[in-house]
Amino acid sequence: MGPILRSGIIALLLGLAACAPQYAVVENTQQQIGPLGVNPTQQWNEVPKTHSIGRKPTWTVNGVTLDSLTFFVDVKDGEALLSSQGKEDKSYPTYASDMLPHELVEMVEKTFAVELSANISESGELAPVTFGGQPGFEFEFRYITPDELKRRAYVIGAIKNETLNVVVFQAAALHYFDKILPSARSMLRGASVE
Amino acid sequence: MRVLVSALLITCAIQAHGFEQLPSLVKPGFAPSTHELEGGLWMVMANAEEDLQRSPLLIDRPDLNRYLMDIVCRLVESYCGDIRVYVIRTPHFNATMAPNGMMQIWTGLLIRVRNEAQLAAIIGHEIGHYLRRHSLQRYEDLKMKATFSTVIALGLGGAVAAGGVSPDIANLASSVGNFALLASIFSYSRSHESEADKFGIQLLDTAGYDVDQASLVWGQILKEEDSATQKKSSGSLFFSSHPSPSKRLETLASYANDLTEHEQLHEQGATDFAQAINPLLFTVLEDQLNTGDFGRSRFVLEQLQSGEHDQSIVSFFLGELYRSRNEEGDRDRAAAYFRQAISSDSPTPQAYRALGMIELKNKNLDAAKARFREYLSLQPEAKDRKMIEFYLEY
Repeated sequence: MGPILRSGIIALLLGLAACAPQYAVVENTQQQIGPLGVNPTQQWNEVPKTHSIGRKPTWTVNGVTLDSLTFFVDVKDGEALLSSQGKEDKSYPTYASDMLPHELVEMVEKTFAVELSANISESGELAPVTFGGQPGFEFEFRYITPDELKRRAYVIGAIKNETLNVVVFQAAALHYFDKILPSARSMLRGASVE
Repeated sequence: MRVLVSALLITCAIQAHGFEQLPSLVKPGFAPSTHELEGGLWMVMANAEEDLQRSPLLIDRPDLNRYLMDIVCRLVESYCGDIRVYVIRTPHFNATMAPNGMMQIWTGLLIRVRNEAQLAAIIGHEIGHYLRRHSLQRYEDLKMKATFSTVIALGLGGAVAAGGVSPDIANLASSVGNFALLASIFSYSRSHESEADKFGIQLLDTAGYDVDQASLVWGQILKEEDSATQKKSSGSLFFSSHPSPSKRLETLASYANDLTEHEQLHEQGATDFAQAINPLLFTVLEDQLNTGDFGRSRFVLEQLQSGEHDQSIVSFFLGELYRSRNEEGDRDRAAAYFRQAISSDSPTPQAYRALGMIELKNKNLDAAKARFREYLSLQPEAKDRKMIEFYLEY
């Protein structure tokens, strides 16, 4: 192999490496995401903001196309979970501090439907739960993205001092959701909220 | 027999009024040899059809499919074994026809046409593409061959990069699913669309449907565009390559004028249509509201109010529309619609829950609890039962 070809291949590989998102390993110690504190019970990787939904703090086990855990923290009255700045064709529902759990569920589902052009195929169980010491809610829903992959999502959240904190774990339905959910749910049910 | 008699009558009438009837270019039962170019195209489409049959977005309702196939057979009796209809769960107005007789109808279309005659006008238009062999004409075009090969080899992204597919079509196809990919590359030219419109209305007439309904579809689409909150995303492949809705409205109304002077049945089929759509109505309207376009959703719902659809479901979603917008006065508007929904002979259970939530927010605890109990009595297996029971403990 000539030096020019070799250096060309090295340049190509470096170029490809530069294109790949840089994931950072999440340490298995208490992690603070805004007011939310969690203790990871399995290996998570932090997704670069350029590859996360709405640039929100996001973790993944196998890569965002297969699974992701997205933290929507410190959401104030009148705000949406995602910013529609620069996305005039998308209209996200907004949060109101007097929303009931059913309305918060609807807000999360609708945000995903609009952002991902997804069909919400089924809303699952909705139940009360304690989240960060507050009376909160948890629920599941199933949705289909335009790549026709069936996905499931688990959502947990609560309102504290009129501020909403909600976390969404989503994964491909066939294998990854059931595999990761127990650990994700256990970590989130044990979360603290400042 | 009725179709044959009608066809004979209409042929005379059409000739008398100078409406030049377009003949079918395909024989019933046609299937190309696999050794020919067209045979290869059909094989590719057969694979695409198998993918479509496995799609999670495919609506699997034998009753609805039977109803749609009955319309196909009424329009073109001798070809009804050559055409398959698939209903795809996508909240936009669209229908497509592949070269092998595979027709897609999107659920967004089913809530935008008002009766069977309007639906038959769209189906007749798509059949027109098939019987006039438009896709083959496109395929024979050199550029189309290049595009097709590129799409098959590289996927849609590669085809766009190679300049074979317009970015507009590609963006929409990517937002509505892979199943739209092959359909989108067979986007027909405007002349083909105009010809399919003409073929469609002559089928409509032959089958005894009210031909005025064909142009009314486009009048409704124009009004919806005016009502849309998000005008940039029309959400319809129709707008990418088809003649403008106003032009189609004008041309179809003119054809209808030529065709309506002879004796005909002029059937609209509003009742049968509503009965066929009702089992799907809740899901399709839920998908429509999830698009987040208030103006478009309100237009669609208000249009459905004058139809023979399940009005409890329509009222419930009008209530949901205002409740989720939550501007001044919207809570009262929503409550009024929810009350309409529960006053029906077969009330939508979710309307009780929605009314209970409004009463809860208005601090009318006893009224709220009464509504929640009614909801649970109608839906004892509700997946939100635990949360409703939590509300009952307030």
